[in-house]
This record gives sequence, structure tokens and C-alpha cells, in this order.
Amino acid sequence: MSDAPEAVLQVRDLVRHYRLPRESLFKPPGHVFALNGVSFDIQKGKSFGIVGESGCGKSTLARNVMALEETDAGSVKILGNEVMGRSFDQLRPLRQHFQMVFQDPYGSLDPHHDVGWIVAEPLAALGPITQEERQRRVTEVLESVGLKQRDARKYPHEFSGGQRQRIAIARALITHPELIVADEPVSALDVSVQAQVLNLLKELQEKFGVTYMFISHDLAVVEYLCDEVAVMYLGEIVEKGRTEDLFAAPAHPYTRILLDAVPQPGSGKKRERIKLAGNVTGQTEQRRGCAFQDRCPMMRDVCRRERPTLAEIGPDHTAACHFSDELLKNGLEN
Amino acid sequence: MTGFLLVCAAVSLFWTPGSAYDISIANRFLPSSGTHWLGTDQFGRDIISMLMTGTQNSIAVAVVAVSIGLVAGVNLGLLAAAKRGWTEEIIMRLSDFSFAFPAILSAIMITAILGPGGVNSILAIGLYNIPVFARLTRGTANAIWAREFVMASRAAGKGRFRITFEHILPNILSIIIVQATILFAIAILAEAALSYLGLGTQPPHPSWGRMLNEAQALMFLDPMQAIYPGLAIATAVFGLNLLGDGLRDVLDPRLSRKR
Amino acid sequence: MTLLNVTDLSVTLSTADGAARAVRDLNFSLEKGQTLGIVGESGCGKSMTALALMGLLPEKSKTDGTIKFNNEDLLQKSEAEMCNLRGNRMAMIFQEPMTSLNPVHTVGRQVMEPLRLHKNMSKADAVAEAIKLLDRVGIPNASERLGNYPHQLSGGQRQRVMIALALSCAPDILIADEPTTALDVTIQDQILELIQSLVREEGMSLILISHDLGVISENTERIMVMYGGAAVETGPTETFFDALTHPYSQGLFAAMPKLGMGRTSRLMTIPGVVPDLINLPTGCTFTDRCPLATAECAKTTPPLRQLTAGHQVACHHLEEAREKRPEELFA
Repeated sequence: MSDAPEAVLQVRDLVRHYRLPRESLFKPPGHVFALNGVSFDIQKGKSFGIVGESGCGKSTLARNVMALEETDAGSVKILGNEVMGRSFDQLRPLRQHFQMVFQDPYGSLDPHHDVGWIVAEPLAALGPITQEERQRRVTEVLESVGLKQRDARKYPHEFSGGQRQRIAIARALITHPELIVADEPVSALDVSVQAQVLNLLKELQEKFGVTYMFISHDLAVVEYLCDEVAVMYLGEIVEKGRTEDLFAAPAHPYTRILLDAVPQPGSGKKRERIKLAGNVTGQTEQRRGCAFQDRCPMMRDVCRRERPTLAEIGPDHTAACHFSDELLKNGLEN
Repeated sequence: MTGFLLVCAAVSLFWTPGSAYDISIANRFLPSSGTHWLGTDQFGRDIISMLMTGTQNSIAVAVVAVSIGLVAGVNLGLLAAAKRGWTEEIIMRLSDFSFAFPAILSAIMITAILGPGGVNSILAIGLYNIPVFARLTRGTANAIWAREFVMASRAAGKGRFRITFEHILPNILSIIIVQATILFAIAILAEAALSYLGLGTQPPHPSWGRMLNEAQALMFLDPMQAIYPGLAIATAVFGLNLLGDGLRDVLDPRLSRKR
Repeated sequence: MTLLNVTDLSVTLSTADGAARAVRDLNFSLEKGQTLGIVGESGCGKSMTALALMGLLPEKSKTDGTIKFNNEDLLQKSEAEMCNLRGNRMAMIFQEPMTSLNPVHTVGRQVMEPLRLHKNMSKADAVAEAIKLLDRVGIPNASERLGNYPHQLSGGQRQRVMIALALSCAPDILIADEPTTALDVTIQDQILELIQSLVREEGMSLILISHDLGVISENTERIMVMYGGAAVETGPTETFFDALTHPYSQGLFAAMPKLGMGRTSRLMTIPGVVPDLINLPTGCTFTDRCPLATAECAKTTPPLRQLTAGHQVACHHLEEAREKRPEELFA
């Protein structure tokens, strides 16, 4: 991982552990180990996808990259500026460079304000600007997401889910940020609306050169939109690489199982694949060995003893597994 | 109903059928008649005038008391929700402490300490209202803080102060208003109770509570004297409760209605 | 014997803004042991259809048509008779396992409820049966789990409990309304497989409702695509995706990102948004978004016409739709 000057976002060894309320006076409080040392870079103009299932820490990652909560350890550099450890007021002028789009189109817009007000909110980070400039920017950004100038005076409840998500995207664009963190932006939308919003995101990237950190649980969407992908499990990145490489030849058992689990139309009923047993465990324990040891079909003794680190499998393709080579050669056996 | 009461109060500022103050022993205990619509009391004062002026009194006390509670309480609640941590703990424990004392009792205690009188009773009732508002505000404010649009606002760089007034307050306003109307009714009751005990509005200013008290001794001579102020109190409280219910129905679904 | 026969089913909901036609003249049938998938986006009427079958529609609604279950019209039955059927001969599982399980009752109690209600089992018998059921749906340590509350289980486990609940009286038909939408994809895999194996073992009929074409395609024998309250295309799953005809089905399929399609191809979108059920056009509901629409489409509802064996499409411009591919329709 080189310190490329082009990297819009650099995350190093991000750790976030949540304290649980005490259960008894005598035992120390438990923790949820949400992020256990996450590192990655995103280059300018690229779309970086983060996939994983519930409990993997992807939403926590989004909040920490956006400096919306206290981080326990690690570094987040946006355009070369360190974000960790700075106070909220110190960060404010920096925020114009990184914005966020949220998952819930119904919850992320305040029902008491009109669209123009909502979309202009991030301008607070820019310092004082004139009323005209404000108007101009609001109109510009509404039009680039396919809405009209007069929509600025309407209220969120007058719009559909897809349109609200467009409003949320407009809000994220208004300060012309270099980085947009999108946390499951299309998961709550119908298929046809999802397609419209995905195409919009692509267009905006072409037009404005925005960099995306795109979080999703939907692998097909990530494959469509992203140049690079990182797969997360229990707070760690278990595999990372260019989309084509990762999807064609996954080097971590979890990635492989995840890809196999996605149902495909037209593929028929019988699809040979390994099914994962049980559900995610171990979020409240700090253990030795691989995070995936409880459920991995390829698990052996060494997996319990040594924690695998991200090792290079191919050009720009890393995976954290002791047996990646075997996986790539023979596939998964039961 | 509430409207009617408000009208009465407003009207009585300028005019009453008779005088609420003139004492005329000769005219005591007159039954309803043309000049005195509801008759007169033991001092010859016109009952209906007393009732109307009493409305003024009750409303004034209720408004001021509830306002004190609202302004102080809501601000405390917003502060608690915004700052969390120790600030929240302290504010909440203080209000828990106040809740330990029943409403009327604490009002009585406070007037007993400060001395009877209109102003002191307002203070007493107001003081009691503060923790009610504080607790309600903090609870609902916390719920709003957890909403995604607040996180979006923080991602935009807005500080807690601005977020409190631009996002939190508009979203909890309807709930606070409804609570205020309910507390209004309680305040009227409280004022009546204090006056009944002689701790509230002092003579010669008319007050429903005191009217009840005075009527008590004379129950067998002229029962109507007790019934009128009682009715007035009951009507006020009932009307305000209805208003609160109605407001709740109107404000909440409209604001939360989605497409 | 045809287990379920739905004829001209229409459901109208009275809302504050007017009457919403949630389901329009729906026709379909289900044999014993057959599986049917209903696919569509929000507002297409798929959930309403399920609720209509179970007799669980909201109060302010009107239902027309007939639902023949074992040759008896369900719409003519009284509430008491329907209660007898629900959980007993017909069962339903829902999307959100957290809200469909009562958080203040233990898992055991909820699973035993239909057993005691419909089969009049004694408590001891019901407990034994409940343990067997939980075991069957793959919940480890079933006997200990009986005392757990829903919040102590994971999402996948709660859905398994729901399935156990639904199956407790061995119903003839199971209706699953988006059973895996709220679950992770690996858990979804497990749950769908469980449903499949249980359906096979019991010889039950299954109606699976989803917005996910992949889920439907892998788990059902027949597919029905709904839009704006009406069925627009039905057919056998095996050949369905090779012979997509209706413009909406084609558009829906083209708008779905699929694994392996790569990043260079563009997702095709259907212009416009899903219709407002209150102001539906009188003719074909897809008129204002359809690239092939003509004046006739807006006026008259297209009938379901047979294309090939078992494959029916409701479109006035059937032949034209058949010829064109999605790229030509929606580019």
C-alpha cells in the first residue's frame, strides 16, 4: 500500500470498540468489537465498494470515516489531512470535501424543512456565502440529479423514495466534495428506481470526478458500480482487490461463499454451492486466530492459532487467509 | 369550550354585569334575577361577575405558570439531550427528585414557604411544571437525535446548538404544545386548590377556589354558590383536555404523514 | 385437485385520498404441492393478494371475486371460520421476524399457540411437538430455546421460529411474504433451502412473494409478475427468463444488476415511477411508462393471452413485445 499522493482517502488500522452497559458490578463491561484494524486507500475518481453482511462493521466504518463518532485508534486521512483527533469545530471547514448519502430516504431528510433548505445545509461548512450564491448552487445541484428548481420549495413528503434519494445525493454534492461516502444508498429502493439512481451516480462521477466509497450488502450492485471492492467480516477486511479479479477468482472462502449465495434469475434451481452454517458469532470476543474460524469450511488448526493478514494474491489483490492458494486452485470443498 | 372561557375572561376585563368587588350586605343571597344572573353571595357580590373575573385570574395564573415551566423545562431538556453525559444525568436526577413530591403538595409547600398570594402561587405551580417539561423534552429530543437526518446535518458540519434549534425543536414542538394544554388544565386545578386553602389569590380578587371555600360553610343556606365555581373549574379542565386531544390528532399525523 | 383457485380477485382500499385499487381482476390457480412465485415492486399488489387469501385485509377495504380453497369460497366465510383455517390449513410468514413475533412472549409459547388452538393439544404434548418443530427448522438446542424471547435470537433464527409456527399444524398452503428480504444473503440461502425442503417433505403448496427475481427464480415452479395490481405475465420458471415478453417484465429484468454482467454494460431503466394506486389509468396500468403504448392501452385492460403452454401475457401489443428485446424497448 503505497502512500500515493492521488489517494483521496487513506484509512490505516482503524479500530472501534463499543462499550456495552455493565451487566454486573463485578465483571468489567463487555465490548462489541466493531472495527478491528481496517486499512485501505481510495484513489481519485474511483468507486470503492465495501461489502459484507450485518455485523461486519461497514456502517461503523462509514461513520468513522465521516468523523461522526469517536474512533478508538487508527488514522483517517482525507486529501492528506488527518481527521482523527480533531475537534468537531476544527473539522468543519474540511467537511466540504467529504459528504455522505444515507440509506433511508425517509429518515435522512428532516420533514420540517423544505428541500432547498435541506440541500443547502452542508454549505454551513463553507462559511458565509451570499444568498444568490446559495440559490445558484441549490438550483445547480437539483438539476444535476434530475429535479427542477421549483422542487426546492417543496417538502420531503411530497416526493417518492427514489426522488428523496436524489435529494440526498444533491445535498451531498452541493459543496463539490471530492469524496462521497454512500451507505447502502439504493438498498431501500425498488429495482427499477434503483437502476435509475445507480445510473445517476455513474453519470455524476463522470461529470464531476467524484470519488465514491460505496457500502452495500448487494454484490451485484457493487459489481456494477465499483472499480475496487473490499469484503468485510467481523470488523476486518478479509479480501480486497479490483472488482473483476475479485469476483472472477475470489481468494477468501467467505468471499466465495458470499458470491455463491446470491440467487440468480435464470440459473435454474440446482446450483452446487457450499452453504454457510449458523450465523455471525464472535462480535463480543477478542480471539486468537482467524475471524472466520467458526464457520469456514476450510478451517484447520493453524486458523485457530494464527490470525491471517492480508497477503498479496495477485496484482492489487490481497486476501487474509492461510489457504488462498489452495482455494484458488481447487475451489471450496465441503 | 376553551374559546368560551377565553372570551369570558377577555370580556370581563372591560365589563361585568355587576361588580365583583362591591360588598353590599343588604343584597346577600339573592337568587338569580335580572340584575344578578346567578345571584349574589354572602357579601352581596354578584356571582357571575366573580366567576368571569375569576376566569381572568385562573387563565393568567395558568398561562404564566405553564410558561415558566415550558421555557425553563424545555431548555433544560434540550440541553440534556444535546450534551448527554453528566449534564444529562444531573438534570434528570434533579427532575426525578422533584417528581418525588406530588404536584399539589409541592405547590402548597412552596407557597407555605414563600407566603400566600397570587404571584407566589404562580411561581409554585410554575416550578412544578419545569421537570415535567424537562423530562418530556429530553425523551423526545433523544429520539430525534437518533434520526438519520440529524446525522446528515452533523456530516454537513453543523454544531449541536444549531441542530438543536433547527432540527430538534421543530420536530418536538407538537408534542410540547399538547403537553402544555394538559398542564394548563392542571394548573387551573392547582390554582383552585391553593386558593381553596387560602394560599392563592387573596381577597378582594375573585378566585374560583376561594369561592368554593367560602361556599363550603354556607352549603345549606345557598348550595348554588358552591356549584357555580365548581362547574366553572370542571368546564375549564374538561375543555382544555379536549383541546389537547384535538391538537394531538391534528398536529401529529400531518407532520409525520409520508407519501 | 386444484387446491386454490382465484378468480377475478379485486381489492379496493379506502384511503384518506380516495379509493385505491390494490388488486385488479387477478386470476391464478395452484395445484397441490405446486410452488408459485409472485414478483413485483412496491405497490404492485402482491402483499395485498396474500392478505386477501388469508382474510387479513384492513377493515376499510372491499374485496370482489372468488377465492376457492378446496372448493370453498373463502370470501364467503365468516371470521370465525377463517380463524379456523388460519394457522391450520393456511399459514403465512412475513418479512420482519422481529415485529411478527410478539416480543413479550417466549418462543415456546408462540410456537405452541396454533397447536393448542387448532389441535387442542395438552400443554405437555404441545411442548414435545414444539421441540420437534424447532429441531426440524434447524434451531440448535431446541428444548432450551423454548424459554427464549425473540430478542435473544438472531434474525435468521427468528425467521426459522416463524416457519416452525407456520408449519405446526401441517397446512396445505404456505404463503411467504418477502421472508428473506430483511436477512443477509447467506442466511437467506439457508432459510430458502429450509422452506424448499419442508415444502417437498410435506407436499405443501407454496406461494412465495418477493421483489427479488433471483429468489423467485430459484425457488418456484411458476412465476407471476404483477404491476399496478394486475398480473402482467405468468409462466413456468424454467423457461420464463428465456421468453420474457411483457414490456414491464423485460424492463424489470434489464434493470436488475446481475453478477457477471460486468461494469461496461449500462443498466436499463424504465422511465417514470410506480403508479399511484388511487389514480390508476382505466386500461393497462403500465400505459404511461410503456414504450409500446397506444391509445387502446389506456382505454381497455388487456386480457391474459396464452403465448405458449402455461405462459400467459397481458398486453395489447403481444407480438410486437415478443419481437423486441429490452435494449430496443428501453435504451
